[in-house]
Amino acid sequence: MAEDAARADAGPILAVTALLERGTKEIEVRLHVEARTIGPPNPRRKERSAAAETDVIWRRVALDFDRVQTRDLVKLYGSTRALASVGIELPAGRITAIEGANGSGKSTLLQILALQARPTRGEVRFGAHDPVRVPELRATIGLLAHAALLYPDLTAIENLELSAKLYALPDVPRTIAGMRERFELGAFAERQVRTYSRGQLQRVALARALMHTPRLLLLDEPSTGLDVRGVERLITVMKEERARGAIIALVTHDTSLAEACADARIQLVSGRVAAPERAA
Amino acid sequence: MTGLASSTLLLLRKELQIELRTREIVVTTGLFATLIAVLASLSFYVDPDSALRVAPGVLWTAIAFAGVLAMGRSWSREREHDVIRALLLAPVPRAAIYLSKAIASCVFLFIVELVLLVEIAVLYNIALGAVLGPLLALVGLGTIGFCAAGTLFSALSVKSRAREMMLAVVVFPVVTPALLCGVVGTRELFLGATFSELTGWLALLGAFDLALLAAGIVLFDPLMAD
Repeated sequence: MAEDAARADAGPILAVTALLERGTKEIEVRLHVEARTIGPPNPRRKERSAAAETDVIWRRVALDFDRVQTRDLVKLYGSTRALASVGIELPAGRITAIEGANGSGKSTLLQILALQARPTRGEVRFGAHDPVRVPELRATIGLLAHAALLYPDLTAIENLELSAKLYALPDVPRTIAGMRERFELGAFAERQVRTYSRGQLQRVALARALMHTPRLLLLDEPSTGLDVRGVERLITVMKEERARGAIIALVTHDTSLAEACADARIQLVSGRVAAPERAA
Repeated sequence: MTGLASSTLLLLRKELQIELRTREIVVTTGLFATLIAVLASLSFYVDPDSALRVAPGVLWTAIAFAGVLAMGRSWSREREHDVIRALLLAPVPRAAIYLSKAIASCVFLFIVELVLLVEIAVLYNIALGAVLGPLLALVGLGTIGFCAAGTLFSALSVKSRAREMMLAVVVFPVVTPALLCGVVGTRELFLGATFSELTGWLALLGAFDLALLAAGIVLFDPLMAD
């Protein structure tokens, strides 16, 4: 108990120092959290909460990375070659569009980046980390797909609450309130997800994907089925995430979406990188 | 990462919350099991003596089919909106996903079985009071093993396109030992075996349960990975 209290006191200062050394763009957000962690002197509940928040920050500092790289990625499904020697680099603070026709290997590449498929050969590195050996790195990934990845029989609030608890986020009610405000989740958020329009689904899906402030944001055909307003919101959110230093991979065959927001574009043809990265 | 116990409880709460809201698993499997019991009684009931021999087979056939239906439906919830991808990405031990599904399937199946036992008692003229304790032990242990194995391989249906074939080809052979122990133990019980005479079957079912649960916890992650 005494150790916990001591760590809660010392942790914030050390964590801020580490973040300063890394020079990340998240420093203001972190300082805000640290200020709350130090907070007014008060009872044990606050100490435990502070210790939990400090632990979250420590974990993030230890697992942080500023780029994702793949080297010679090969993925075979039986005799079918989905990816052939794919080497790309996704730096922080940039939106990288991965484009290609159906069957070009985009979704396979995204599944490997999301650690949901293993390459037949080659490797993925999250900064200095090997994500295969560090499963905790899953917590640094946010995934937004064409499907909403939400339980249709639960409400948006229940879905977000479940997600927040799975990610062990501190102060769940406040986090959810923040997401509701950011993504304009009005009264409909109390209804079952099954009843939502495509636009409402996308807003909740964005909130779920971003509520744990992921370092790596993977977007799999996110604009499919959206109206103009929905696509605009998506672009705005991507730019906000880029500004906070997220690594963003946008898998799409929507050229106009890539042109509107991507800093770099990678073309996949038959599982190979067809052209060198180019600025949008 | 969140701990195994806490994340299992969190996901189990979600399973129960969805079932309380929709009631689809308990209601559909309950009706299905009832249909099997009624049809079999109309077809096989000749006299009280033959009923005692037929009832165990009907009971476990109904449990097996209702169980496969329940587990298939339970995993199809993860397929809808592709939510399994989000679940696999969450920083929780993947065994927690398996355990929560297995425990939830057991709970749903226990509820169905309680109704089914009453129906079997009425339809086959069985005095439940005399055999209730050992019968609940047999059904309970058999259900745990059945759900432990069934949940593990039903999970493959989330990723496989040949879902129904996967269940028939993989799940039934794996759960057969639990079903065999259950059927034979129940038959002996209905034919007058005492509790002490059933301990061998109960021990076998218990060992089978432990082995399958351990296998499920260890194998779920590799089975779901690619």
